[in-house]
Order: sequence, then structure tokens, then C-alpha cells
Amino acid sequence: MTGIRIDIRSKFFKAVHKANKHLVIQDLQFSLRRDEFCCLVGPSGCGKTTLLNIIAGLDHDFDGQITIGNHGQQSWIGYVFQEPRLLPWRTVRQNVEFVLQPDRRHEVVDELLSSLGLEHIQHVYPERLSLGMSRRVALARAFAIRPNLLLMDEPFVSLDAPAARRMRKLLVKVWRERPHTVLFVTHDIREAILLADRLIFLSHVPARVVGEVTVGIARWDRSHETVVESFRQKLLSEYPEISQLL
Amino acid sequence: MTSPRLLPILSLISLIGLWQITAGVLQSSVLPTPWQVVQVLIDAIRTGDLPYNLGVTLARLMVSFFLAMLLGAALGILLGRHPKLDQFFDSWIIIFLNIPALVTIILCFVWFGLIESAAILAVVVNKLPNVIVTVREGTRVLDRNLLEMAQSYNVSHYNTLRHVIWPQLYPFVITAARTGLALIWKIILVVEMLGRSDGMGYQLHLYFQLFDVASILAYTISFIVIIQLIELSILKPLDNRARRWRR
Repeated sequence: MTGIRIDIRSKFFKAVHKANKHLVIQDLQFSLRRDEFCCLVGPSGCGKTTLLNIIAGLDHDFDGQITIGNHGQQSWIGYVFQEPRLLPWRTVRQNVEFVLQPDRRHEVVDELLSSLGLEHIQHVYPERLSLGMSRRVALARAFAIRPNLLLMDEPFVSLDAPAARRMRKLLVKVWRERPHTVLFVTHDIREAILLADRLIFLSHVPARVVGEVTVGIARWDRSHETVVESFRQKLLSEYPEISQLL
Repeated sequence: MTSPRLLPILSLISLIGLWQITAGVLQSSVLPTPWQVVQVLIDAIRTGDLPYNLGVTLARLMVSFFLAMLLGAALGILLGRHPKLDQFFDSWIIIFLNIPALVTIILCFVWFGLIESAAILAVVVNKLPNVIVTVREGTRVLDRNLLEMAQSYNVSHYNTLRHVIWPQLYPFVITAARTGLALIWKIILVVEMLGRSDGMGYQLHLYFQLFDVASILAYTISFIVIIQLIELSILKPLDNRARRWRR
């Protein structure tokens, strides 16, 4: 069921002075198929976070329509923000449990903490965790609700390369065990090629779609640096208009 | 290595020693020695005067304290969350913050009579603006990122309040409680002195007219001890609890 359709005609940011409204998104349309892993690539500051907030239902002040799944079906949206956004006064385990109904808690959380390698720190407060660990907890929290749509806003920025690689592996592993639609925002084209079924390119502000590419590389093949690099080169030559993003 | 408790005890003993020496040198009826005060204190406890009046004052203190805290926290959150309301009522708060305690007390007694509820009201009105301002400040600096997170995961209002908002307000509420206790017990004595016929304030006034300094000091000491006990056994542990997650 959970395909989603995004159709935003315009989204303004209100400036301090009422006259200077600032157009962030204009005529942005695309769809995601059910269980598709889609990466949204665009320059920084192009309104990607704003777009995710709109899809997550945090921002209703826009002109357009977001359709998630079929009518009458409950959609569970998991949102992994750019910063981990953990509750500092709750332990790792309590942070994950926070988003769950009390009756669903035990089995789900135990299983998730062990599969993400967080068991040994489950009673630790977030301030004692490294950024990588905190991000992993944020990921666990999003998986915990068994989302059928997972929104991710550059969730692996400012991690060192090995940590980011581990996190991507973890993400793909969980996604393949229990498929769901993923919308993953990044400005790193290599990361996008590594992860996605399909890439959607966004323009500078005001954001709109400038290109869509299906990544036809088998997932087991993407661990090779050369495969990703040659796909990137091919993109560059085929879509000169998006070259500035790459 | 000295134990951390040693220094405060030493300082307390030296204060009492200083008092003893001064009283010994002056030999005056308006400055009794610590020992005389202790005897008066024991007497007052034995006759039941002190426990009764202390109890009456503490009861008033508790009632007005909890009323001011509850009302103040509710109004503080409301104003912190709604800028329009805040803009409107801000000047009211400034005015109430600056009305001298004595004026509110007098007005309450004049308007409502020398009754118990007027006394409580006077204390609450004095304390309320402080609580509102402190809690409002806490509400203003609530982390919007965490509120958004709770909202995007469809967390219920109750759970958001309990796990996201309350832990952030807690230190502000504790601050309001600690400063509040100190403020209220000073005001309550004036209230009792002006309009009640029992309680610590009334007794102190009585001993003032009798020039009975030993009794005044005895009552004061007993009161300080009680307030310190409340601070150490209730408020301090609550404060530590609020900080346990910090590195």
C-alpha cells in the first residue's frame, strides 16, 4: 500500500518582515512506490528538510497535497532527523520505548537493540554516547515503530567514514529484512548511489525536481568503490544539468 | 584530608562561640547567651506553645506554597506557550512583582477581613508572580526539536508532557520552589503579625512587646531548623534527582 505521492505547488518561509516572503519550494512533484528506497539529492539549503517536515506532518503551512498510502489505512512514519534528537534525561532503552505504545514494548525493543548492537548501552544516558552511537539509537527508535514510511534527513553526516559505512550497512540490512518505503535525503551522491533504488535530484532554492535516475546496480555489487565511481561518471556525462550537484 | 562535613560544623560552632562571647561581655538583657535561649526553647516546647504555633504557621506555609506553585506553574506554562497572552499579561506581572508585600497583606485584610483565607491569599499573591516568571522562562526555552520529534512520532499529549516537557521544566520548578519557600516564610510572619492571633508571627510580635529577646531567638532558631530540614530532606534530593542524567 504505502506508495506516496508528493505534490507541492508552493511553500513559503515567512521572513521577519511580512513583505519578504521567501519561496522555498515550487512545483515539486514526485511519487514513491511501495517499499522503494529512494534518495533525494540536492545542494545544501535547498529545502530538503522543509520537504521532509511537510511529509512528516510537522508543517501544514504549504500549498499542495501529500498522499500517503490508501485511504483509511494507518501509516506509520519513522523520522530520523539530522541530529539524533534523543531525550537526554531518558536512557537509550527508554528513548526507543518512548515512541511505542506500552503494550508493544518488550519484544520489539529487545530484538531491535540487539540487532543494532545497542544491548550493552541500553541503560546509559545519551550524553555519554558518541555521535555514532546516538545516531544508531535514533535509527533504532525509527525502526521500533515498524514504519511503512521511513524519512531520513542526512542521518549519517559528520560521522567518520568507517562509522558511516557501518550505519549504511545496518540500514540496508534492516530494510531488507523488513521492507518499507524509504525517503533518504543527502547531498552526498556516492552515499545515494550506494543506498538507493532510485535517485531524485533537486534544484537550488526554490526546490523542484530536475532529474530522476534508477540505480540499476545489484546491491551486492555496490561495495566496490569502482562500480559506484563509474556510475557517478556516467551520471555526469548523461545529465550535465545536475553536474553541479555532483 | 578533611571531611566535607567538618567545615560547616566548625563554622557553626564558631558562630555560636562568637555569640557566647559577645553576650558574656555585654551582660545585657537584650542579648541572652545561647544557653539561656536553649533553656527557653526547651520550656516553650514543654508547655506546647511553640509546637502549636509552629504547626499553625507551617500549615499556612504548606497551603499557600502549594497553591502558589500549582497556579504559578499552570499560568507560567500558559504564558510561555502563547506569546499573545504573554504580551497582554506581562505588564500585570511586572506590577504584581513590584507591589510591596506589606501593601498586598494590608489590602487583603482590609478587603476580606481578618480571616484565614485572606491571610493565605495575601501570601499566594506575593509569591505567584515569581513562580509565573520562572516557569514562563523555562517554557520559553523548551527544545523545539524534541517537541517536533514527539509530534512526528504521534506521541500522545500526556506522554509528551511527561517525558519531553516536564523534564525540561523540572529544574525551573525546583528553583521556584526553593526561592519560594524562603520568600513565603518571611512573608507569612508579617501576615500573622498583622492579622492573626496565632502562629509564629503573632508570637514574635507578642515577645517584641514584652521585650523577651530570648523567646524571640528561641522561636527563630526552631523555625530556621525546620526550614533547613525541609530544604535538605525534600528540596535538595529533588534537585539532585533532576541532574542525575547529566555527565
